[in-house]
Amino acid sequence: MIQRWVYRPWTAFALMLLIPALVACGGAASPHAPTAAASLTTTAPTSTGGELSGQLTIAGSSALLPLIQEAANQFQTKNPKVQITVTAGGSGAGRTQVCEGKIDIGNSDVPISDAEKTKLNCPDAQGVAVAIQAFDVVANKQGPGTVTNLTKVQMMDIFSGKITSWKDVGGDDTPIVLVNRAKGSGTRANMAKFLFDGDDALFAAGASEEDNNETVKQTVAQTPGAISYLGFAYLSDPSLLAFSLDGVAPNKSDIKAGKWLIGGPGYAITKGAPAPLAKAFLDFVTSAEFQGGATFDKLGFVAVK
Amino acid sequence: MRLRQGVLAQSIFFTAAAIVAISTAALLLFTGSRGLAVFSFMGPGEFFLGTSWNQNDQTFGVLPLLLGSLLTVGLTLLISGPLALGVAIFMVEIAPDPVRRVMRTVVELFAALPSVIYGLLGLTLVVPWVRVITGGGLGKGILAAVIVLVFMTQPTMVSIAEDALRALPESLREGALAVGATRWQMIWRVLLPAARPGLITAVVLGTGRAVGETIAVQMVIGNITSRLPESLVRGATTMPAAIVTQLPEATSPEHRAALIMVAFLLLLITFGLIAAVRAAGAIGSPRRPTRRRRLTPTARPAAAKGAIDV
Repeated sequence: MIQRWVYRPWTAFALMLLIPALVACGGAASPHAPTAAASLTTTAPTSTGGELSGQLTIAGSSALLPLIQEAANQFQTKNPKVQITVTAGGSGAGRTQVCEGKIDIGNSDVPISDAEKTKLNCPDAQGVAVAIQAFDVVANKQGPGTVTNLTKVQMMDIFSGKITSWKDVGGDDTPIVLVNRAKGSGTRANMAKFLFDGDDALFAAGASEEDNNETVKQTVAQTPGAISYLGFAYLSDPSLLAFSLDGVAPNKSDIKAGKWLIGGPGYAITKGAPAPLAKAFLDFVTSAEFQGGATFDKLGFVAVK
Repeated sequence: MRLRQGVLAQSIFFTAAAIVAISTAALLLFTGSRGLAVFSFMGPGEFFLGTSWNQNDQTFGVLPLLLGSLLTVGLTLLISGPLALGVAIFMVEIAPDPVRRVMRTVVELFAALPSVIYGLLGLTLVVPWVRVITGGGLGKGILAAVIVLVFMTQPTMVSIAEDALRALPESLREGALAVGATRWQMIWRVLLPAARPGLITAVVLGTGRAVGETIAVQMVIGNITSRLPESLVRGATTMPAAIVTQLPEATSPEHRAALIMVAFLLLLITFGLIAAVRAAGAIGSPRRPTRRRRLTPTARPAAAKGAIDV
């Protein structure tokens, strides 16, 4: 019974049978074809009698995720034969993966730049604005004292590291602790656009970087003197202080009227013109029916139209 | 009939072994080939000796990540190793049965906690505590990460070390006590050397968890890649934390290649670590090979004879 493995010719034979079989299984189960062309053919909808069917894969901006997820749910209820997979991953991932043909629609908080189009070999990328996002500077309640309004210059000085104490903007004698989102984050890119004309390098070096809004919220809420920036949906959190900018408080009507300056449209990006199913979905997302709905409002977005 | 069963069983086991071997090779090959592509963008010196990792100016020096990882894991091991050993000895040799059972349950509970829970506890308990004792700042940094990792590595280390100690034959204890050893001498001189391979395994697996831990570390370390770690209580980063923070937003091919190269380094470090600790175990106790010798029917009597004088 102790006898161990001894080489017999048929062992190798069995191996030769089993491994290709497994490889074949693995190959067949692979969800994404590697080339854009193949991906498009697999996801092309087969329209029978006006009813949509097929698959859509969407990824990208985590700020836009709740909105797209909700749209996907509603769209699938209307078109039961359509299967939509929505994941986050970051705006950068959304732009990259759509250009690589891995996904059908990539969500991004910022438009795809010409430099990126060249770099990612994606000259025909198209973006559709799906919602207006607003961001605001938030701080821990200890430190700012009675200050609830900051000017743009004050914000610039704080985030570039020129002002290091709340005292210098009229608050308590508490050091300012900067908390950033990771470089490349859509939220950070929108702040950079507003504060530094898009030059991310002007953010003070050495500030902690977090890769999601929840961690930023938690960190700011528990650290006296901390300051960061968050999307509109997070501003109502009672543990945070959301600043007015030059006397304008962040509220829906002002954002809609274009008076609130931090933020901008979030985009759904496709490589080339969207395929029929993707187009139908994007038409739904931008429709007055969806953008005027109660859920859209509750999620903290502002309609593009 | 028996032959056919043999064919099936051997094919299954052989294939299972082959899949593990092939997937490990494929993993190395994939990360290696994608990662080494970074050297078509920059020189190895720039990558390995660069002291700043900043995607804004496309500099990818790996030292801030590497040093952050080494400091974090090193400090964790310094604290966690002896602590786990002490807990295991206490559980096996000293604690009365009811206490031991409670402790075992607690250890198992800690092992079952997902790492994001550790991260959240670290963020809400450890980070503010570090901030208070160091007087200001954010509290995020290597110290907070080490504290979280000590708790995370304890269950792995304690349970394996405990099993190793418990598996020792009772005769070792009886023999040591019979020749007049104190309990301390018995533990230190007899039990620990005898359980050495198991204890080394405990440390290796604990280290593996510390090296690879991503989310919990990322939540408490501050993720600063643009400079070398300045102190234990200022923001820093580790290799896995940098990968998980930056990969989603890495749009340039240079940045992606650099991050995958970091993943490749992480793989090599893990392999190297395991090899090193195994070698250390083998040097220390030449009469106890860590690898089990395969017995063939003919070699068996000899092995049995050899076993008597162990």
